[in-house]
Amino acid sequence: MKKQYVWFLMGIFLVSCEKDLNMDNLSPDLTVYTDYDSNVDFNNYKTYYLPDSILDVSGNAVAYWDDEFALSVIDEVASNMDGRGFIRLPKEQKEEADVGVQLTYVPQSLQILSEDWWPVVFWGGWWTGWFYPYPRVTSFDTQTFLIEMVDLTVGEGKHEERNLPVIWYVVTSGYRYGSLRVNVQLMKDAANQAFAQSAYIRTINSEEGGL
Amino acid sequence: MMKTIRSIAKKVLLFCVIFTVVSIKSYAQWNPSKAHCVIDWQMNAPVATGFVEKISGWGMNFEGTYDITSHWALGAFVNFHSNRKYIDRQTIALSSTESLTTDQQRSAFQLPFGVTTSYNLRPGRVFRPYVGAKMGAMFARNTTYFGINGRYDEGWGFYISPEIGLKIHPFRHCRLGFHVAGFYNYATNHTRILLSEVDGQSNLGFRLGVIF
Repeated sequence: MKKQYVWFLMGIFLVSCEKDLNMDNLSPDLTVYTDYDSNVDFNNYKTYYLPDSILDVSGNAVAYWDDEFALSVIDEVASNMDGRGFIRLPKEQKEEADVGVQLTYVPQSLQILSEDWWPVVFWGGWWTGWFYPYPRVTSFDTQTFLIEMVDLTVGEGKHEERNLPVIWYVVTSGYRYGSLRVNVQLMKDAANQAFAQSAYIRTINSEEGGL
Repeated sequence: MMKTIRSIAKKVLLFCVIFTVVSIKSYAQWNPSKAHCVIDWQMNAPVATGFVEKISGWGMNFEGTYDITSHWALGAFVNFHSNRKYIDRQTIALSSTESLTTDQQRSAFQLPFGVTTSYNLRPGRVFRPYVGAKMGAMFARNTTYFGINGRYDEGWGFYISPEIGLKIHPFRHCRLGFHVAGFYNYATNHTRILLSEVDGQSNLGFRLGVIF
């Protein structure tokens, strides 16, 4: 057979090996991961302290996010904690709280440098493809929202001077969209889901009783 | 059961190797008219893997064979296939203390290659039914994407595939013909992603293509 047929067929073969996944099916909701210290009995904790701001790790310096959008997220977390029987203490009484809840927000922009050859066959044509003759940079925005519950009853002295164990750890992550209102709603939904899959976050003060 | 299948596969492989050596020694002279190429489009459905079961048409099969006798053909093959499945949002218990809530987009990619042989039941006719088998190695990669994250596991395994098919040569003075076949295959690949573990995988499918 003619050699050009062989090379043509090999080209079709090489570019068609593995089909790229269609990511459009994936939900925009944030993925929610939770973990807790199995040696802890959450019924032993009655009060909690939750700051009025979210730690923002988007720049080189520490910043705090405390506008109305941040407060709506904080209120959502507080609502869940209150519903589980915990009592929120104000800032003046934070040294008396049993647990502390820290919220952290990490927005990121990821950039990808690509020199791929994109064959048209992926969009329905059967002729050989075309390509960009120069490197391309594509980017997408992501957000990670963390909830950490620490045990404030361990050790003595001020909280800042002690090593405090994390007894409940939540990582939520996903794409970050152009609308802050949409991103905040995703964060609140993720916080609700974190509590929904953490039935052990409950104290004996709740109406349904302890575990 | 898997050990029994692997034992049988090894014995069949040994038989094929011995048969190949004996056959090649009998035919030292190369005749280009006896060499053939097959290019197929392939439909494939994984069977009971627990990872992806949905049938897909994203695959192709390539073969190069030589007619050792009027009935027997021997050669090499390579094919590839991708199957995908979407899992709705659910909460997964990763361990006794860890939980993950997400939806997933899964992909199972297979790339087997090796030797192929076939026995033509009616050589020289327009319609040439045959029975055949493929044997060799397979590379498999299972991937799951969730949110902005993804996990994959890949590896190699032993591959075996019986098939039955039909070679159609409607043109007397032209090598071009058509090929249709049904196949089953089994590979010993092992992959594990999150809580989905695949230890040995089976597939069913069919191929449509050309032969020349």
